[in-house]
Amino acid sequence: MSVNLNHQRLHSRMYKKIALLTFIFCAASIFLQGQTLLEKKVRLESVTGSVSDILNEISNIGGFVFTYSNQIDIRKPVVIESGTETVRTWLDKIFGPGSLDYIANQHKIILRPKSARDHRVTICGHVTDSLTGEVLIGATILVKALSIGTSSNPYGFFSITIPEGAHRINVSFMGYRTVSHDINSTEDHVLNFQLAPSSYQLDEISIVAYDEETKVNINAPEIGVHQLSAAAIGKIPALAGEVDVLRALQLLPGVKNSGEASASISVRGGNLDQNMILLDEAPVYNPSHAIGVFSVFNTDAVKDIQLYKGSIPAEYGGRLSSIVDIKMKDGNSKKTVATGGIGSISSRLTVEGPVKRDRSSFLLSGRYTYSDAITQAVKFMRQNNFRFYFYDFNFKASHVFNSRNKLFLSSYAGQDVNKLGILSDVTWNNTTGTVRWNHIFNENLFSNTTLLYSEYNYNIRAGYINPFSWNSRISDFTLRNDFTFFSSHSNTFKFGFSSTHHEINPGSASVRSNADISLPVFKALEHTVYLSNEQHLTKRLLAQYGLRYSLFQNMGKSTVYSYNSSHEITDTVHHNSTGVYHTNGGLEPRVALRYSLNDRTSLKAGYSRTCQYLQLLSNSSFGLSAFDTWYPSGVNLKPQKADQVSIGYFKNLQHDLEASVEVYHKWLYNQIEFVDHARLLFNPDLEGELRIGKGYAYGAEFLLKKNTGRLTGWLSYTYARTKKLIPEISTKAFNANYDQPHNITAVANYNLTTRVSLSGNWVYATGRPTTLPIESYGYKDYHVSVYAERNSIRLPHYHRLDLSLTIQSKERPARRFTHNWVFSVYNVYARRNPLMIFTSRPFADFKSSRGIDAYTISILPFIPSVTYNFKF
Amino acid sequence: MMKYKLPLLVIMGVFLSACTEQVDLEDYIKSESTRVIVVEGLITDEFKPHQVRLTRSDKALPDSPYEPVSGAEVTISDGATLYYLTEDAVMPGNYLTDSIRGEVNKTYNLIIKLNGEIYSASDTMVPVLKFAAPEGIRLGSLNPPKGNIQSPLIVFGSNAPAMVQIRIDNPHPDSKYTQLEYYTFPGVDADNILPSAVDANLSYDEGTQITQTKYSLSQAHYFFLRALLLETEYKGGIFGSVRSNVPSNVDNGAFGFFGACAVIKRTGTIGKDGRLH
Repeated sequence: MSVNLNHQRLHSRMYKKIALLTFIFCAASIFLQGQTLLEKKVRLESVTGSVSDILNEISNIGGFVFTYSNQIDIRKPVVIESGTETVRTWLDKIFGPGSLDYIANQHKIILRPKSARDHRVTICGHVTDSLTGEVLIGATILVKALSIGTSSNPYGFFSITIPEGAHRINVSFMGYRTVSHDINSTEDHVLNFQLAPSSYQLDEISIVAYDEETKVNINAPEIGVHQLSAAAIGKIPALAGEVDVLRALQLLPGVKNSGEASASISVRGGNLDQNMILLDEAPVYNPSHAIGVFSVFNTDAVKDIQLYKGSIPAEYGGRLSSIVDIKMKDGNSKKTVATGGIGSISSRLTVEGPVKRDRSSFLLSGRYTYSDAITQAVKFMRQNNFRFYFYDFNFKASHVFNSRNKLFLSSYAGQDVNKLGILSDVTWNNTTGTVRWNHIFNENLFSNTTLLYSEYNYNIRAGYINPFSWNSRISDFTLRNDFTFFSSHSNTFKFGFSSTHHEINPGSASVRSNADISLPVFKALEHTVYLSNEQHLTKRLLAQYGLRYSLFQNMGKSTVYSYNSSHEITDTVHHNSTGVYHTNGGLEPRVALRYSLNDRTSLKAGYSRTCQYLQLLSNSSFGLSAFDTWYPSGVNLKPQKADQVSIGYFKNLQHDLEASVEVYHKWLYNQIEFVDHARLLFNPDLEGELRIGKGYAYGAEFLLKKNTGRLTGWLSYTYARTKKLIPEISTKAFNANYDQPHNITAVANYNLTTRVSLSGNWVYATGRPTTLPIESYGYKDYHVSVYAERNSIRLPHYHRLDLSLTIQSKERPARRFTHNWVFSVYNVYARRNPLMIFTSRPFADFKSSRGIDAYTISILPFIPSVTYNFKF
Repeated sequence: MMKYKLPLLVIMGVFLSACTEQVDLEDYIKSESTRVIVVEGLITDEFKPHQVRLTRSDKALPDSPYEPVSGAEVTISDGATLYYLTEDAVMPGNYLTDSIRGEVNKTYNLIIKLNGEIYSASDTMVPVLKFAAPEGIRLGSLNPPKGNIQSPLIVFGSNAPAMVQIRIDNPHPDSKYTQLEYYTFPGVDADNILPSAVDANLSYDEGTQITQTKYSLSQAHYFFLRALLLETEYKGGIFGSVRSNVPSNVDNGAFGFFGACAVIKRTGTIGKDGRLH
C-alpha cells in the first residue's frame, strides 16, 4: 500500500514537472516569437503621413497587427525616410525611444504608454562654484512643479529621480545666484551645475529669484543645525583681527564659551569635551592656540562649517552635545589665486590653483604669529629663551580621475610654543591627515572612503630647582566608508561604517629628583555602523530616521583596578595580552521630522541618542586646555550617554528674514565630576578621583536672521539651564559651569557703500556660576576659605560690543589684485567682565600683610586691531 | 599670588591684557561665621613638648586675627598612653604636652572636649625617608662664599610626600629670613606648575650653618597640605582648578588637621668655596 502511494506521489510530481516545463516552453516560445516580431526587418519607402498610416504600412508588410491605447495620438503627422529597419527601430523612430512599451506575441504587437512609475529618470551630478570650481555643500536642487528636491552632499554630489519628460530644475545656494535649467530627458544622465556668486552673472543659463521652497531652514528635516561659510565668519568682528571659526560659533544660539579667554565651546549645556570638532573628517583634539584664546582653524583654508546641536544625523557620533564639521577648501580648479593677510597677531598666506584645469587642484595655507619676532627682538627675552608663537599649516589636493572617481588629500599641522626661559615650556601640536576617495557607482549610489590620522600631543617642562618634563599624546587612525543610495525621489538611504584605533598616553614624565614616571598607554578600538533614510512620507511630512551602533573595545596591556564604595582600590588585574579585555557599546537612534505648514512655515522635531567613549579630564576653573588629559571609557568608567528631544517652529518672513524658535531638553548620563582637589596629572589611580552622576539641560532658542541685502546678520535670545546631579559631590542638583540662563546676541553687517561695510556684534549673558568663600579660618599663616555650595553664586553679567570697519579696494576688471583693510575693536566700551573672583592677601602689601581681600580678574579690555587682506 | 604673577603676566602680556580689581565680597555673597573650632596640631618623634593650637573660624574676609579657643580639655593618646595638654598661659589657644617622643608607625588620637562637644582626630606616624640629594634646594652664588638658598614652595616628583624646613644660623646680615619651608610632593598639579618666583632672601655667608628638617606625611596629611596650598598660595592662578574646601581629619564639623610626623635632620656649614660641607 505504501508502495502504491509512493508511486502515485511520484507520478503526481512528474506530471507537475512536465506541466511546468510545458508552460515554460510555451511561454518562452510565445515570448521569443514576439521578440522575433519586433526584430523582424521591414523596408519602408519614404512616407509622409499620420502615425496610423505608417503603422498600417508596417502591419501590412510584416503580417501582424498593432493594438494600441487610445492615449496614443495616432493622428500625429510623421515623416519617415526610406530604409530597412527592425520593427522596434521603426517604432522608436515614430514614437521616440523609450516612450512606449512594445509587447509582442505571436501575431500582435501591443503599444502601451509607459506608466509614470516606469518613466523615471535619475539625474546626478555635482554643484560647484563657477569661479573657483569648489564644490558647494548643501545646495538645493528642486523641481518645483513636482515638489521634488534634494541637496548636494559634502562633496557637492546630488542625485534626483523624476518622471521622464520636460521639467525645470532650480539649483540654489546661499550667496549664489539660483540657476534654472530646463531638461527634457528620457534617460538617466549626469548634469553638473555651476553657480555664480551673487555679484556675478552667468550668461548661458537663466537666473531666477531665490525661492522659498529651496530654503534649507524650513525644508531640511534636521533641527538644531547651523551652517556658516568662511565668508560669513569673515564679516564678524574678530578679536585682535584674528577671524576665528569657534569664536564665530559662540555667537550662535545655544553655544557658549568657557570664559572670556577661551575659544572652546559649550553646546546646549554640554561640557567642552562633548563636541566633536572635525577638520575634513579628522577629529581635532585641541582646537586652540595661545592657551585657548584662538582656534586652530585658518579661515582662509576653510570652506564650510556645519554645527549639529540638535538632531545629529546617524553618520555622526562620538560626542554627546554637538558635531562641528569643518570642511577645507578643495583648492581653486580654475586659476591660481593667492590670498593673505597681515594682522595684529599673525600673518597668513594661502595659495591655491589648478594643477590641471578642472581636474586637479591644490591648496597651501599657512599662518604664523609675530610674537616670536618680538621675543627675539627684545634682548632680555632672547637671552633668557622666552618664546611665544603658534603656527598653522594646511594642505589639500584633489584630483578627478573621471566622472566617477575623485581623490582628496588633506592635512593640517599646527603648533603652540610658550617658553618662559628656564622656568617652563608649554608646547602642544595637532596633526591631521585625510585621504578620501569619492566613487560614484551609478546615478543612485555614491560612496566615500576615508583613511585618516589625527594626533594631538603636548609637552610641559617646568621647575627651576627641580625640573621635570611631561609628555602626553592621543592619536587616532581611522578607516571609514560612507554610502548614499538615492533610492527614489522619496527615499535617500545613507549607510556606512568606521573603525578607529585610539592610542592614548595620559602622561609620561621625567623628573630629576626621581625615576621617570610613566602612566600606562591606553589602546582602544572604536567601531560604528549606521543606516539612515530620508523619506518623504507625504508631500508635507519629511522624515530622517536612522540607527547607529557604536562599539568601544579596550585592548592591550593594562592594569585595571577594582574599587569599593569609598573609591579605594580593592583589587588589581593586569592584562598582559594585546587583545581586547573590555567592550562597551550602544545603539544610538536618531530621528528628525519636518512638517510643512505652508511654503514659508514648518514645524520640526528631533530625537538623538549619543554615546561618548573618550572624555577630557580637566578640572580647570578657566576652561584652559593646556593640561587636559583624554581618558577612555573602560571597566570602571562607563561611556557617557545623552538623550535629546527638540521641537522647533521655522518661518520665513518678508525681506528675506528667517525666524525660528527651538525648544530642547537633554538628559545626560554617566557624567563625570572630580573629587575636591582631584589629582588629575600623573595619577595612575585616576579613576579613583572621578565621581559619576547625571545632568540635564533644557532651553529655548529664538533666532531672527537676515541673509541678504545691505544689512545681514542675526539676533538671538536663548534661555538655557544646565544642572548636574553628582550624589558624591552634592546631595542636590547644582549649576553646571556653563549655566548662564539668559543670552542675547546681535550680529550685524551693513554695507555702507559697495566698498565700505560696518560690522558689529553685541553679546549679553547672565553671569557664570562660581563658588565663593562664605567663611574662613587660619592654619599656619594661611587664610583658608570655606566655600558656599558649588556654583551657587554668579559673577556679574557679561556683555561686550565689538565693531569693525572694512574698506575694500576699488574693483578694476583688468586688475587681479584686490585688497581690503579691516579696522576692528574688541570690547569697545572696555567692559571689565570678571573671569573669576578670588581672595588673597592684599597685593599692595602681599609679603607682610596678614589681612585678606577679594579680587576679580578680567581680561581683554578694548583690543583695537588692524588687518590688511589681499588677493591676487 | 604675587609669586607667580611674573610668569603669568608675561604670558598674559603677550596674548592678553589682564586686569585685577579689588571688590567687596559682600556684594556677591553674604559672609557668615559659624565660629567652628579649627585644629592645628602636630606630634613628632622628636623629644619635646608638642603643640595643638585651637582657634575659631571667622567670616570670609576677617577684620581681626582668628580668635583662639581657651578652656578646652585636650588629650593625645597612642592607644596605650594618654597625654594631657595644658594651655599656654602666654599664648591662649596653644595647648602643649610635656616633653614626649612619638613613635613611628603608631596611630595618635587627639580628643578635644569643649563646651560639651567632643572633637577627635587621628593620624599615623609614617617613617620618614632619608634625604635625597639635592632634595629641592639649590645653593646659588655668583660671589662665593656669599649666596642664597633657593627653593620653590613645592618640589614635584618625590618618592614620598614630606614637609621640609630649612633653618640657617649666622646668616648673611642682609638676610631677611632665617627659615623657609617647602614641600616635596609625588604628584604634579597644574595649579602650581608655573613655578613661584624663588625667595632668595635666605642669604648665607661663609660659616653659615644650614639645618634641614624633614617631616614625613601620612597620605591624609599630604592631601590636606596639598589642598591647603592649592586654596591659598596657588589660588587664582591661570591654571587654577575648581575651588573647594580643604579636607580635615577632625570630626564633628571642625576644620584643620592633626598630624603625626617622623623627623630627620641634617646640618652643614658653608665653606670658603661657597659649598655646603
